[in-house]
Amino acid sequence: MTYLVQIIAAVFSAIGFSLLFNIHGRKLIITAVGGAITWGVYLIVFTQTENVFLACFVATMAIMAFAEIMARIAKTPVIILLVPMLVPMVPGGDLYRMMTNLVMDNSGQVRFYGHQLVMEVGAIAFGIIVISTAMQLILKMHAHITEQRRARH
Amino acid sequence: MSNNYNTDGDRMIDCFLNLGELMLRAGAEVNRVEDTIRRIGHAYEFERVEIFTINNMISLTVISNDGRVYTQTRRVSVAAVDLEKVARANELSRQICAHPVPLEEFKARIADIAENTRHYGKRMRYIASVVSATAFTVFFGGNWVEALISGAVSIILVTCMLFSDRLKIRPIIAILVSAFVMTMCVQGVTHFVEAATMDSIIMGNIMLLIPGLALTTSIRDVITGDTVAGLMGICDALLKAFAIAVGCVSAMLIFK
Repeated sequence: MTYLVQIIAAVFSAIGFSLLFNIHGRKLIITAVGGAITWGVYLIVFTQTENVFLACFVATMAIMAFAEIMARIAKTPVIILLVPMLVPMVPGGDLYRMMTNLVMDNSGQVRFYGHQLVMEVGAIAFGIIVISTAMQLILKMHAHITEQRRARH
Repeated sequence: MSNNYNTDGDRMIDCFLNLGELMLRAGAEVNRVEDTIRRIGHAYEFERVEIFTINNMISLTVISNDGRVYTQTRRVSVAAVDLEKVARANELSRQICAHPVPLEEFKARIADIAENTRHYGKRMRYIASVVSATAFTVFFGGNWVEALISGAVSIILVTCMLFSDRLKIRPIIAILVSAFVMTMCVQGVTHFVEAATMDSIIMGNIMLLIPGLALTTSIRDVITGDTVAGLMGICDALLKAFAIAVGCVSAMLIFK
């Protein structure tokens, strides 16, 4: 039940940020669906492995793949869809907890949340890179194959 | 058809830079700006297109097909993220690459994107912020009272941000002050409302300020080779996060 509430909240946050970033029309629907996918995948991986890095990494890869596919269907740049869809994963909660612990002088907690923050941000960045590189490879291979086919005919 | 685009190189690269500036200001990645201008330059039959972009500057040198060199540098100031503009600029570049149009028309179409891109307006910005802040408060485990307070506080937060936009205060200071005001409000309200604790409310509102995506994309820039642009972005994002922390923490210390 909490998971369902979280996913619905993720959808609304993605919609809200899409509006803030001036996204119109059917792209709004795509980003809303993407917000659900992001957090859905995150929750699935996190409940299975209890590993924040892995959860962020897999969720980012899933959403990046979704963004690459939808960008080709909707004929827009990938970043336009990706940015609002990634919003639910931005580690604002950990930043806040790190800050409050800093004020309350819990250096152990500060280190824990700071570490988590770095892991999450790194995982998101690597997830984006892995899929965008894979996508480029696929496109190159596709172009290569079609060219060879044409040459053979 | 062939040579005539290259004769007016100075005005041509001015036009390229207009497009690059527009994209960069609207929040396009450094990579995309470089790629777009390189493609357009080649579409207009320039021999070489050497472009170097960082977050607030574009430097462009082209060599025309009769060997003349044109160069120009453009300093770009930051502006609000506007992804619709990026989408339109991308579409324009696609069309230009397929069928290069005369300079005047190219210029007019860039101006059209700069001026006539549809916007949601101020009211929608408030609504979007309230929706996001409320959703994030629920997301971080807040109950419905906290969600309501979060929505109300986000109105104050957005007013703060819009006001500092109008006064042209530096973004860092604007964020610091907004975070301070927001935390003060939250602490004031939660002091009187028994059913609400401040944690999830502040987290929900911080999400509106946080440069998390800028940080992520900057790290990606560093890893993919745009090191300078990436480091600038990381530095900027960390400073903004620090400003949020200072704003919130100082408000907390007052109430402590």
